[in-house]
Amino acid sequence: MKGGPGARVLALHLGLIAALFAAQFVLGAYHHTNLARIMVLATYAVGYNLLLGYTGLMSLGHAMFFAAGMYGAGLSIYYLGFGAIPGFALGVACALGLALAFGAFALRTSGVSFLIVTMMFGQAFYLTILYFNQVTFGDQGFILSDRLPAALVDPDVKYNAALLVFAACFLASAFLVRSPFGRILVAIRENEARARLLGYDTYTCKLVVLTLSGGMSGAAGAAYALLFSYVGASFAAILNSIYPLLWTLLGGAGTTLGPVLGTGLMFYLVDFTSGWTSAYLFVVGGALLVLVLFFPLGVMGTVRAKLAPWIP
Amino acid sequence: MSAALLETEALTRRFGGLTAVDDVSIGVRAGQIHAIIGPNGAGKTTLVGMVCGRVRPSAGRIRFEGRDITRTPAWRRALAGIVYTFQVTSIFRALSVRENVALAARRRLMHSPARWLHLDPMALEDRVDAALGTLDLREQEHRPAGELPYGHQRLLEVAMALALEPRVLVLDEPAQGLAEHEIDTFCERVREISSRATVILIEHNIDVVLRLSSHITVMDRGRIIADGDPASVEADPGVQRAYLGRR
Repeated sequence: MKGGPGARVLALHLGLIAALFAAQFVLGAYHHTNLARIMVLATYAVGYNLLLGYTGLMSLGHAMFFAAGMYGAGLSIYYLGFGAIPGFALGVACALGLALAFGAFALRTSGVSFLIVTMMFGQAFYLTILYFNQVTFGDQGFILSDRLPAALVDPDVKYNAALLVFAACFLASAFLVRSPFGRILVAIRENEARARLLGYDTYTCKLVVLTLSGGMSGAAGAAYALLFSYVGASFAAILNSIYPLLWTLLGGAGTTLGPVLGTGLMFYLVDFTSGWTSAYLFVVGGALLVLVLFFPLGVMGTVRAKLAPWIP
Repeated sequence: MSAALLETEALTRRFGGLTAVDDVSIGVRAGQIHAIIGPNGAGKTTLVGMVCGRVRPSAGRIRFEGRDITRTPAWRRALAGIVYTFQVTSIFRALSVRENVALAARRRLMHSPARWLHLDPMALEDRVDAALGTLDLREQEHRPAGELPYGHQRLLEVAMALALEPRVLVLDEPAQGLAEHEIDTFCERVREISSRATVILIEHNIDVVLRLSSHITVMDRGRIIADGDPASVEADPGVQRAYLGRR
């Protein structure tokens, strides 16, 4: 890449971080909390997008990585008296380890088989959490607030902690997809057999990216447990695997900004429609239908195709 | 016979009841243009598929520089310098012509983990320019590869292969889809390439084969029916019957 687009890309990404930082000073309490939540969920989508958008691997089991992070952090804090930061680190480590072990096995399949294997393991993970409900409290979940430092209750601390986790994952993903390694991922997405005959060990590349993707999902899960103080099995359910898929597709798979935008849009779409109807998922489904029919590239994908081909 | 750079030993591949390649032993010497010819279905593509690791042999061995590579994965063989250009064009259609070649060129530069995250752009650009220039593709470098005319997609395949700095370059029907006047230029290019790499050439155009190759293996129904220098192969009565006579 030449200097021009490189500088613009950097400005765009740092600009988003700066805008999110500035937003906390102008937003009211309601949107302030929402945005903190969106940033944590967007971290999840950013991790998911590395796999779906850039490598072309569709997973329906990512909730297990989110939940591994969430329970890794939550259980160690609840039972072992871990602090917030060691708990977070353990959560991320659990997700990384799970993704690595799972990937070593699941990446022997591809395409639809991969999708099914991820879904099965995701379900197995969910059922395992329910099965050990004496430890995990199953569906009911548990609250962490009385075991966490009082500072984490402060909305400003929450917001900036969420921003920190988000910024780290977002910038890492933007750096990664523009690196030589990222180009290989795109090559795998476009034509894996060819990438292999160019001398790339595509299996190992996919394993690395799945591990990173799982790690980011776990970081989001661990952050969610810490910042919103709740750990529950519903975060391991299939719906929580479908969400990052929808956010990514809505915002634009294979764009760095897409998943972030998609998460925000969907969050407010649900927030808005659930205000006047309990059938808000119906409205969300309708919106997705429109998207798939008219903007199959997602918001940022369409922007890139029509207006700004330089965005990564 | 001098030691071969690449050898197959009783190489066999069966697909169900069909034996596509049957007990084939060839030796490709360094610096040659070694042509493999034969009618459709003779097993040529399956043979080179086994050489580059796309197809797993049912029996037999493959040696490269004296080392057994029969079980070596395809990507390792590509890295070792056995580079294949596809018969049915296999490029990254959605990516630009330049990025297609860059993907190949980067592979040669990414030899330490740090290089997977960052590469010197200058070293890369030079290599890509060189490979694109050799095949006269510079003017089309920003187009999506899938938009190129078919013949030029074949040239892009060759440019990608060159950027990988092959030791053995397998060209599987490279001239297919090229216009008559482009074929002359293409033959020149292959001759230039052969000063840097050993070439295995599968080609239906018999004039191209006779002009370029220093050694010809003729296959029919999975077996070798003749093997030698062009003059002796052309004179072989079995070859006349099986292949050349059908022209």
